[in-house]
Amino acid sequence: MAAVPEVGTAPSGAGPAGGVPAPVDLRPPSWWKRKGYTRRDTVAAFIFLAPSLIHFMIFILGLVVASLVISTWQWDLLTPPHEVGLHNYATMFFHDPLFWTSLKATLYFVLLTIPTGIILSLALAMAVNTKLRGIVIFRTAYFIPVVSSMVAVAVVWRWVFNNDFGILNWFLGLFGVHKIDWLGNPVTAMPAIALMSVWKGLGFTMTLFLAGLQGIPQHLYEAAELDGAGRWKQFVHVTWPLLTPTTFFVSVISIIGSFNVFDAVYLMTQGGPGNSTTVYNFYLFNQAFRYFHMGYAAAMAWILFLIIAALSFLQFRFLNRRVQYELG
Amino acid sequence: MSLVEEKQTEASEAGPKPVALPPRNRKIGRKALAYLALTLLAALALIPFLWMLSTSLKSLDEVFLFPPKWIPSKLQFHNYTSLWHDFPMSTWIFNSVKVTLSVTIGVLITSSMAAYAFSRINFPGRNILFYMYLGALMIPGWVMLVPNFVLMRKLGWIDTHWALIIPAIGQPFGTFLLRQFFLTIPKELEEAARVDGAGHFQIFTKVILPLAKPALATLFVFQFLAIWNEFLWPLIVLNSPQKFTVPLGLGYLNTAHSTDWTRLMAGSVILLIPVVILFTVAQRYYVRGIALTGLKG
Repeated sequence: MAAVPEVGTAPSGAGPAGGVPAPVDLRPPSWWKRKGYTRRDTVAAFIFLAPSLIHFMIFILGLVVASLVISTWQWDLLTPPHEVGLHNYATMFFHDPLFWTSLKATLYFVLLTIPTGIILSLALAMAVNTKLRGIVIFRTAYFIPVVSSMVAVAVVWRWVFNNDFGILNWFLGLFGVHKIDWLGNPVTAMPAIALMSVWKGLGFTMTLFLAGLQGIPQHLYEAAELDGAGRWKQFVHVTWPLLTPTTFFVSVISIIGSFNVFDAVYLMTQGGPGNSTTVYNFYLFNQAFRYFHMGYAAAMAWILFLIIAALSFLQFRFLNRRVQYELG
Repeated sequence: MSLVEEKQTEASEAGPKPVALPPRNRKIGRKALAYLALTLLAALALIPFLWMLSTSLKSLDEVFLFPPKWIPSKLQFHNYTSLWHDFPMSTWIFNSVKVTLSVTIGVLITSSMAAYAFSRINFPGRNILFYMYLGALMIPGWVMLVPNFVLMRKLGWIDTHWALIIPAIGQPFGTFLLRQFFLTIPKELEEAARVDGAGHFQIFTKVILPLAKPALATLFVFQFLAIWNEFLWPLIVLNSPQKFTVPLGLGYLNTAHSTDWTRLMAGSVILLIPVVILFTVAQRYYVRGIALTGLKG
């Protein structure tokens, strides 16, 4: 789909005006004929669209607009809302250190997970990228963490990281490392959550890389080999450049995923110790559903949207120049 | 044949000699290496789950052994039965199944109908509407969280399953996925049906849907897993334990009984069973879905 870059502009331009079929007694305008529209098809189309479109208008478009409005309110749900304009946004930037703490924590989480995840999953995809019998069984194994509920995963990783009887301390103990209270120490809590997240997502990103690798024509490697290129040179001059679209896609998806981190933090550390794992969405959740600052939470959600949109855009611009599309 | 074997042993003893191995040997070497990597990786992916299963059958004393003990000395099935005894486990499972199936089937219906309109009917406003759907895919769910909660309160749906089902029953992603697939179905098939006097409804149910079974299966698997595992939204809208889904119930145990390890693990096993079964049976649909919507979209 070449449509992706244009998408961002769509919601602002599109109104709900197209949502209603023309009244029955009106004749269709003359340009309909040129475009090949008929009244019969149009009516049918909107009947087919109706369930989805009504849902869309209420639960997506409606809620997005409501969210914008609420973000300009001060509102605890119990008393009537006060209209405060951009006050919530100003508070966030200038009077709320915890907002910045949570943003930094999220960026730290992103930095810990993205490069590790991409390097590991690419390496694994290359290791696995040969025609092998039984690959389906292996792939099932790698995907079990991906499709598992975070609740179940968090339970078992709380044991992995347990100070007294966890497997990680036992393993490190074999090399003489002293026990570390992974989730109870503000220095190690975030890397621990990041490690678990990378583990959980690896099967997914590996599959994406594998699909990308299998799309590289074999004859390019043969040509490179004839030119005397070794394994490393083949990687640098064939695999990596041709894989750039995949790497780009994987990094966008992973960054967005990392910015959405919540369940893991809620279930494993509740943002602690201190505020060391209070990531952005955990703080947003607390603002909304512990302190009932609805307007503030809505404003935070819009900042999150802007950050993700800006990062995707930047990444697109930056990588677009380097992306090597298929050689033809 | 014997010549090849000779060379093989020679090569393995020769060490880092810069002599290129015969292609066949190199292939065997690569395969062995790949299998080794695959196996190590699979172990890494599965060990936590094996531990989960083993702990769910241990006595509490054995959990705290250090170094960890992998095989329980006596299988303690009452870890499972006591979950039913002390918590409304059957209700949680029933709630989860009810909500997950309602949402998944609802999404299949709304998405396939909308996808039919977007892919097979020519009507004014089609592109604008479709771009709106695509645009919606880029908005994080967190933006809708607060107003959705407010709406549920207004409708009196807090602490009911309506709040889990109705807001989730439409999916721009599902419409997008099915549209991509419907576009690949040749036009001739529906024209043949039209000559026989079929209208849009017949074409949709008799031509398109039967041919789209793989795509429908893909969407089913995606949706089922997403809703079955969902934690944040139920956490926000449900209050009373009788209404909990399995992840929410287990999440509650995880905070309120955080050291009740054996039963936490037993609950996790219960939560994972449907996921593992569904994924094992339908993994090719899941993997295909990633390719369909991701790279080749």
